[in-house]
Amino acid sequence: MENCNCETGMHNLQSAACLITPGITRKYIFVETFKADGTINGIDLTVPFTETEIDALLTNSDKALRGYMSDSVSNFVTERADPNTETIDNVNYITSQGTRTMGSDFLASCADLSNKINGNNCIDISVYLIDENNGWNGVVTRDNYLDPIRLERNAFGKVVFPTETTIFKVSYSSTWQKSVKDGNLKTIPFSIHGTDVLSKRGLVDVNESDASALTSTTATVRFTSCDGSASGSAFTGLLVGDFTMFNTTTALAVVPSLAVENPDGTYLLTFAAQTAADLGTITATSAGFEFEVANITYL
Amino acid sequence: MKISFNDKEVKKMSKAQFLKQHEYFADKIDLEAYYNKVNPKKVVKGKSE
Repeated sequence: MENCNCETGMHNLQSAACLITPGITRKYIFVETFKADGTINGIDLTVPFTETEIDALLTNSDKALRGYMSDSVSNFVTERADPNTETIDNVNYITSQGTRTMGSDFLASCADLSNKINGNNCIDISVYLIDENNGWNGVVTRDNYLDPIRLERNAFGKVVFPTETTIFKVSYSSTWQKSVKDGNLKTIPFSIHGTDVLSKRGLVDVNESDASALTSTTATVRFTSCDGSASGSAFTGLLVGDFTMFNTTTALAVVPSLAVENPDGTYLLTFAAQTAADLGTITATSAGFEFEVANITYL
Repeated sequence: MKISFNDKEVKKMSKAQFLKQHEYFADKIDLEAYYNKVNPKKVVKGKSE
């Protein structure tokens, strides 16, 4: 529990006249808790934090530094359990704070979101809560940084089937780490970052399938995004310049000279002949999406 | 069928190399016409005597 400071004595309990408090959470932005250098992946409050920095965070090519924005959140609830106590002479003495659970529903998400939520538990994850007023909520535990709220590795996602009276949803639950104190919650309000964060979208996964070399100078790959259907939604409109090919055996880039899309989402690429049995990769780029890397063996 | 060529790459190739590399599409695309479009023959104006 909070240690008393006998030198400073009691704390004044009156708040300032103007208060910024968290609104109802409408989106999550998950981040890895630590950077590669071991420092917390927080927001430096001594430098500008505006739409430019927010966009860069949400699309960072370094996955360890990226902010993973969720779909819109509904039915957000969070509650801290009563503190743990030891009862002595009929008096309850607080031994430790109760755990804070957090849960919500995603109404417009694929069922595979539950896999992704459950699959993230191997990583030390934290979260910023974006509220209905575009307030960016985290915790301040060190000077000049708003840090994300650290979560236990017990996030759980499950599909809730529709009924006569309810709709399909993916339900999410997690627990704040024990070390997170409610009293450290702080907000970067819209008036500071000036960004309609709720109108932002995180990166969308694009999955590869059916990748193979057809001849010594051609290979095919199919790209789809999740729409809930077994085959996925064809990712259309990629041009030859959007593709990146690599020969992993020689560690050299392979530049495709032609891309033919037929049918929608399936691309046939042409390139200079590579040595047979060399291994390679194909991927693509398109703003707002992250493409899976396909592996091929050159013929 | 949506087709997109990397003209920068095409310009680096000889016609023979281009036709060989894209022979998979020989029956679907007029490869020679496309190559000629990307690599137009330079017309050198000669001085009249």
